[in-house]
Amino acid sequence: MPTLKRKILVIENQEFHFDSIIGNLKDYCVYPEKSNYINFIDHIRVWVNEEYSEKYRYSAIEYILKILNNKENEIELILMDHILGGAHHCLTGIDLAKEINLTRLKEGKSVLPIAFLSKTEHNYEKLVTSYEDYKKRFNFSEWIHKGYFGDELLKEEYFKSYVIPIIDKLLGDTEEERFYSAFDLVLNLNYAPNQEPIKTKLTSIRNEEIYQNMTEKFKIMIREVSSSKIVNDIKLE
Amino acid sequence: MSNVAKLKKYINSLDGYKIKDTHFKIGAKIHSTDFYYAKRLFQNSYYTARIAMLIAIKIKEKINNKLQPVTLVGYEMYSELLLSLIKNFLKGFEYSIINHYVTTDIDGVIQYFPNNITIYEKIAIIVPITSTGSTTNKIIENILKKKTEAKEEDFITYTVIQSFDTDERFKNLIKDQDSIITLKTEWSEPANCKWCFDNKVAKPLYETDKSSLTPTLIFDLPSAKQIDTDSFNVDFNNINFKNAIIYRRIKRNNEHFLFSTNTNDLINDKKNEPLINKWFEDIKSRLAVKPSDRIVIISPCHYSNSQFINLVNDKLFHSAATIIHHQTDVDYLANFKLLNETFLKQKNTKIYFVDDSLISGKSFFYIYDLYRYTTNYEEGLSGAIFLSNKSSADINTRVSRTVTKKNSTGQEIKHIYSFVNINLPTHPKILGKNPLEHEVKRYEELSKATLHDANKRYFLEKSKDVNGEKKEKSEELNDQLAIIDRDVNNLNNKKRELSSHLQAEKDSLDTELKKLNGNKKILNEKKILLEIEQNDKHERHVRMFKATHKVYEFFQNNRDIDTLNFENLLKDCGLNENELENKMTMLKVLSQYPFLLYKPVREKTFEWHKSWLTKIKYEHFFLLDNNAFGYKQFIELKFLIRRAVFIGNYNILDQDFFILIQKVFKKISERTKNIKETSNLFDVTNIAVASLTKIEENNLNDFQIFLLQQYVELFHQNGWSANKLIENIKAIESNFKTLQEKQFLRMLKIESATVLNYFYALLNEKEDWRKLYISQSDSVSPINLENKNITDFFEQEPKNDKSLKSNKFTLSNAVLELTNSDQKLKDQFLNYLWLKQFLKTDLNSKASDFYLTDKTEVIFQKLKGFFEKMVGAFFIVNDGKNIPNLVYDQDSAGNKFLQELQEEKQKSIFDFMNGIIAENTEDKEIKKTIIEYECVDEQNNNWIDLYTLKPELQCDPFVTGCQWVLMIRISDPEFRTLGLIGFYGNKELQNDLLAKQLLMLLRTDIGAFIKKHHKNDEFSALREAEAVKRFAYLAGHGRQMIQKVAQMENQIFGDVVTTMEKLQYLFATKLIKPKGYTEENKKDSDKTLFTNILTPQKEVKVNINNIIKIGNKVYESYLIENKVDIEEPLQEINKQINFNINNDILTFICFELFVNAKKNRFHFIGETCPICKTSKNNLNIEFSFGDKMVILLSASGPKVSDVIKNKINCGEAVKTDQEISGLNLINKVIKLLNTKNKLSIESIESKPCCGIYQNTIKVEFNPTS
Repeated sequence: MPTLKRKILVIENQEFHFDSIIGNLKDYCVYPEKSNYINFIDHIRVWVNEEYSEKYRYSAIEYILKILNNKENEIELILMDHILGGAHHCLTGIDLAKEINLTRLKEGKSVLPIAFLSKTEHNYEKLVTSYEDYKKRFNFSEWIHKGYFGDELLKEEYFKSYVIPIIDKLLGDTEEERFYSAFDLVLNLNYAPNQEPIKTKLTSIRNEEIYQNMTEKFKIMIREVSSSKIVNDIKLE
Repeated sequence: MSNVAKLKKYINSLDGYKIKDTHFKIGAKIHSTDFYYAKRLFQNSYYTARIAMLIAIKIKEKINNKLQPVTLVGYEMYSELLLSLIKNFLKGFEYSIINHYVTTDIDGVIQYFPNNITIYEKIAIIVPITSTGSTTNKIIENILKKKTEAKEEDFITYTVIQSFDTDERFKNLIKDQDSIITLKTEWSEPANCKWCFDNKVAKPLYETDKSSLTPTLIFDLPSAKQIDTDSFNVDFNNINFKNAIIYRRIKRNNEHFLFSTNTNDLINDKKNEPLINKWFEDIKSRLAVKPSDRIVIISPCHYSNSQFINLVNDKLFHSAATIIHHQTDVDYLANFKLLNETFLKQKNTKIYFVDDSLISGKSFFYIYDLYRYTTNYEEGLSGAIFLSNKSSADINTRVSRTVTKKNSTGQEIKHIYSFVNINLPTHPKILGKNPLEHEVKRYEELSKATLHDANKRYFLEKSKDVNGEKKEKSEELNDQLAIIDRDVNNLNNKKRELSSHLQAEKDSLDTELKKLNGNKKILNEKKILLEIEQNDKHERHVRMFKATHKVYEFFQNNRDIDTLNFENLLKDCGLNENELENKMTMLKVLSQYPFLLYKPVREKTFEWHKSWLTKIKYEHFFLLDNNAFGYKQFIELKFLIRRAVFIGNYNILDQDFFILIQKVFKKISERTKNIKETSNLFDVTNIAVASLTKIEENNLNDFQIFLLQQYVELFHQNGWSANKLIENIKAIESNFKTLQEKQFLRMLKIESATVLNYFYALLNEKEDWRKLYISQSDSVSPINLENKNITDFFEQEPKNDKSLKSNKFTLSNAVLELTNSDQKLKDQFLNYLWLKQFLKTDLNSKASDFYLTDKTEVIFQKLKGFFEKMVGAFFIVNDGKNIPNLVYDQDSAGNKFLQELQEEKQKSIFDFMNGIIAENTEDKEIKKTIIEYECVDEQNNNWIDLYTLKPELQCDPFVTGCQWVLMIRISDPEFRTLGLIGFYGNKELQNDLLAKQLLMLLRTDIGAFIKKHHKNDEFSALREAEAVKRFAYLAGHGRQMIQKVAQMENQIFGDVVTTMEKLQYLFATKLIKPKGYTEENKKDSDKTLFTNILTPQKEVKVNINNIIKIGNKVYESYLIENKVDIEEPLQEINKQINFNINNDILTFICFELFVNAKKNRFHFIGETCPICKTSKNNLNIEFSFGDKMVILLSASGPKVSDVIKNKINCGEAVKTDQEISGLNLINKVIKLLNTKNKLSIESIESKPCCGIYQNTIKVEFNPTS
């Protein structure tokens, strides 16, 4: 049964952190369910660890995407820990977010907003580059600093005043709003030599057509272009 | 002929106003063959009135309305007469409202006299003399800043005289002027000035004051004072000055003397004594003092003349004279009269002025005036008696006049008596300063401008030396010897006090005594060498003193310098013209003050020097090629180079001269080789095999530094010499092969960059430049990193005042290549300008607009931008307690490189930071400024020091992961290390000369930044905050997880977590040493701290059951990731094992191994494998005791990659951010216990069907631990 509460997937490596976080998200519908936490997080740990076989990792991401795409309770936002694997060489939350959203775009879905949680400072240059790179491509994300010791996040006060507003802000964007953001991004792109006629046409659609009248195919195309920045395949209907 | 033409003809015909066939620097852009001494013309109303009338008529023609107020603006004080005359004439023409003021250029800033004048609508600018005409524009721009509403048409401009070269080359340089008189001259561009750089026509370059009006020259020949034949003085040649001469160290009456004489030494000299007695007898006969005469001696009160006064009293007046020792400038005139009137006005009183020296006459005339006042101007002095009369001709005449009296026969007798007349007048002023003061300032400026500390120190010492402040080396040695003697004495006393049974303490004292006596021996040897050196120096100074006197004497009698040759001058001065020593003395005297100021002498000396240099160039080439170049030739060459700098002979920049230098270097290097191979060096004619003294050896070894310092002086004198030098060495650079030669060229190229300082100074004079970024700094916006403001600034500059069109930029661009092929400024240069701006703004702002970390970040972002290719950088600073702190550490991708400062691992960095003594110099205070290392064998991490002169010295490995490292030491004005900037990357980066030049240019600015921010509480607070942060961060992402574990299962995990925290805190914060890096606590290694925290234990009985329990609990705990079931829990055994390390450490190691195994366990997802049916992980731990104690922990997990396995097995950190937890922490701990202890890993596939591996970690403890 679909629920009225906004649906959030919490990808947190540490079980007792997960427990604290879901305790602070009572007004939301949180996944995975507590009973499935270990199974779910083990799938995450498998995917982030490239030492596992490709096949094994593939089955892990399949499982994760399945949870995300559950038709009855489709996830609207992910609260994603930055460090996900026990071993140092493991991929990070940013890598996983990229994987998820790329797959979604391929499937014609909109970008899923993601709030990253990390103890790592935002000004750590390597991280900034990687996050900025993500943000350029997908937008709809925020960086939430867990605090130097990492446990500020677990405190109810900190969570309420700092994390919840970010979650709400990210969730606040409706599908329509996100589409128009993507559309604006496309309009600001530097096109290939033949860009001008396309741009003129797109601008008139942007100004004259209402959202409901646009075809799903067109919406998907705009989303894809906005993230991949490829304009060759745009066909105007 | 018109009046103007007549005047023009007249001016051209007057010798007094034009210095022709010369070589003058006029402003920055031209060198001229003629110099017009206009100042003298305009100060004479005979000419000025006529010019003023002409200009007044011209103004009248332009401004018809007589009610129109007009402001007249002149340039420099000497235009005042001209302006006031124009004003008078205009008033005569019925113009009623006229005012005027004079502008002057003071240190590049236009100032107005008077400064509160109203500037009327119409402004007439009258520039008396100009060359390019830029002065008029400069004044207009300045007025426009003061009176913004003024328009171009409000200005009327006139130039009285304009002298210029009509050649096409200068067309763009000359601004059109309404000139009354135009004079043609010949100009040369400084870049390729033939009078500078063409040896055939080269002439000394003369400079003027800032406004190009007053040359620092005396146009006449030097002249000695005329001494009467019957003045009784003793022949100069018969006097022994050897012990009495003091070189440079004396200042008296606000005058600083090149030479002075010690009165007592002169009097007490055995050879001089009979001469003095004879002199007194002669004077006595002339004075004819009667028994009834009352004698009074008046004398200025100072320390050096009392012996002489007493001697005069004794020898001439039987000690019967009354002596009034008066302190000039202190006692009041009225008091003098009151106290001394009785003595001075008595009947039959004869007053004599007595002093040891007459120099400027200041004391004499002061006392003479007092005496005249006291005696109501009725009486004159009876005589003046001096030991040494060093006054100039005019002073001598004035003093003589006061003591000239008629004798009974009516003959005029001058009663001035001097034992010796010395031609050593006080020097004329140079730009308001006396020559030695000028030299002190020049050396100070050189010390600031030069880029290497070795040079900075040299010039600073020179400045102190000239200023008489430098402590004699012998005094320093005596101080050191006195300290050693005191210490030896103390130790001997201590030894005596020790009881006989304390043999160990006695032995230790003996060792210390032996060391002290060893040092004493070395110092005494040094002292002997120094005494020889000082003796030689002193003799040289005496020779120079005598030569100076003789030269004055020579020119007194020979006024024709044109036909004079050097040898004749030597002969006439009583010096053997064939002796090198004499030739060198004479040339030195002539090429320094005061003779440098006499134009004809300077020109002649320049010619003599030029021909001597040309001669030896060819001679030395021959001698070098035939193995006959001896130390004597070497000294001659050095001498001529030094003189070339003083006299401005740029022939030493020629390519063939550099080839000669290179050959000398080669000879020196052959010598170094020969010394190593044989100790039998004897042939004095060949420098490569000659036996030399230690001092001579040093002279050879620091030849490159000597040369460098000479060229730096030349660069400072004439920036274009740097360009010429760089141009000339390009083609022959490959000839410079030895390490000494390479070092010379390398340092020279870096030093040539100082020309950029002149451009920056010009830029900084502009107000718009100074406030370029200031308006944009606020705490809210991020630091503006864009260079756009700078490029915009250059684009928006007024057409007539483009900085990038200035001569200073042209020069900088020629030397440093600051533009790309498209003529656009290189980013490196823009980054440099940005940093200069930023650092200066930061230094001057009281409030801290940005966080220190942000500022450091942007500074290094920009510094990295000095390189053409990607580069990493680190920045280490000494804080207020002199503790080194790593405050920046990022490679080109943003990763850390050094991670943390470790003195043992990074010895080369620490050594450089502490100051590596420059090689081949005796001065242990000279520390290297810049150093580069290259990794020559990456596999074995072998590095070479690219700057060393001793390649045989092994270089310790100090970093990995790059091929090249550049480090620049930042020091304060006392040469103490403030910090270090380091850059690293690929090998080709070492060829990026511009980057190194720009970095060296910024050293002082970075030093000021460190001083402002890192030597105070701001930095200490930041470091403490960072330490806490670092601890929290480095302690691993699971720190709070571990703390929770300890809380919940305190009985099992409590102790182990405490141990872990102690260790983490130790490693994270060990750099904070409260006492700083003193010698005592420097040795405080991690190990000492470690053993203080966790006391070593021997033969510890460990209950293995506790460890097993911990292992099982780690897997069970949901706080460590989540609860994990294992196939079989570890079996508890009640067994004790004997380990010889601390129990807490052992337990901690096992705990970390368990946590690590759990984190790296295999994750089972999906269906259970139908083949192996494995669904749980396994875990096992074993302890074994053979040759080594070993812990083996084995657990199932995914494969451990080869990269990680290799890192662990090589003892390297797996994580790049140096987290202090997990295996890395274990490794740090076991290595501290014993460097041979080892941690290794094996990963073997156990279940191929599911990809499960069995990973085994082995911790080996060496028996000695």
